[in-house]
Amino acid sequence: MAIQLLLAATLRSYLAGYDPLQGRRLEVPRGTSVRQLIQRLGLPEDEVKLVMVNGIVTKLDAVLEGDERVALFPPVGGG
Amino acid sequence: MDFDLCLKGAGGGAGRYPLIDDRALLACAQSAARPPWQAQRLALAQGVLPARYDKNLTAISFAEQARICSARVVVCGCGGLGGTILTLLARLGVGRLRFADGDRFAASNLNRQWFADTTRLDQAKTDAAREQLKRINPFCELEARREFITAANVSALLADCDLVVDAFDNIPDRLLAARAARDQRVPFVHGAVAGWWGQIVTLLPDSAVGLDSIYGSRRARDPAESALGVLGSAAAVIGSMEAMEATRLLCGRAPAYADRMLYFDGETGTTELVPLG
Repeated sequence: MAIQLLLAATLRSYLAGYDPLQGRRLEVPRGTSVRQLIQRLGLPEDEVKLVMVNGIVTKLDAVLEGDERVALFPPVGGG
Repeated sequence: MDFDLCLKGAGGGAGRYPLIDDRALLACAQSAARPPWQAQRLALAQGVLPARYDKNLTAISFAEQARICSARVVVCGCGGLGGTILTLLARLGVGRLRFADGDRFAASNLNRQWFADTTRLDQAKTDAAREQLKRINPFCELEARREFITAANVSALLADCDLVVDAFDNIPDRLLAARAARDQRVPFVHGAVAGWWGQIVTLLPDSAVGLDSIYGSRRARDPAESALGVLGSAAAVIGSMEAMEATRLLCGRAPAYADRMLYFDGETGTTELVPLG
């Protein structure tokens, strides 16, 4: 199944050739959790504080069924 | 000279309200031996609008302008976010601006910090801020605190204010101020930036969420995030959004970001609104 992954800020540098405007379309097995997705992509789990699936905030253990839009936000702290 | 008489002589304008310009209002203040901010409040109480606020109306009402002119706002930090926020709030007409920062200007501040300039390197940020803000709006009562926020000074810093605006550059200070604002039952407008990115959230005294729902247990900034630097335009966007949220709250209107986070992505020019909690 395919999902649309959107990354912000520092997370973008973990995916070579990531296009910030398009995001990344990925094939993952049905039933994959957001945490498994993050691990599979080698993203730092500590930095992913906010996860939205189809516009709704969810936890890392949320399970994906396919065709979702998954957005990961690392909060920033400067001023 | 009697203040009312002075005001009557100075008031003019064919618009919705009699207007008084800076020079006339300062003269009235001086003749009545009152500080400018008191003279401004007296003028507003009599239905006279300082001409400097003419273009705030009717985006906000006369009554909302008067309310803003008697409010006290605390801005925590005089750097990238703070310079933008303080400048906009002074121009808006906030009656009392209290601001704190223990730092001095360095060369690396010049890309984004509105009170920094090449002649002010090594100068205390609060001194530069006071100087600049007094020129922008002499009718703001300025309370500069040249100190970093600590557990010992935070309640005095926030005492008797209507609103706290986050312009810090680190997470622990934000958490300290947000907790103190909740204890004192005043709204806390959080904003933060890095690189092209920024976020804003408003925490009300009875909010179900806190900054923990954004930062988790993290207490230090991710080194990769610090390495992004901060673009001047990103700090100005988030600082402006914080100032606009402050405007809503000071008017008594509903906040836009209560318990939800606006995430600004300057790299793609997009925003996301993330509900928290």
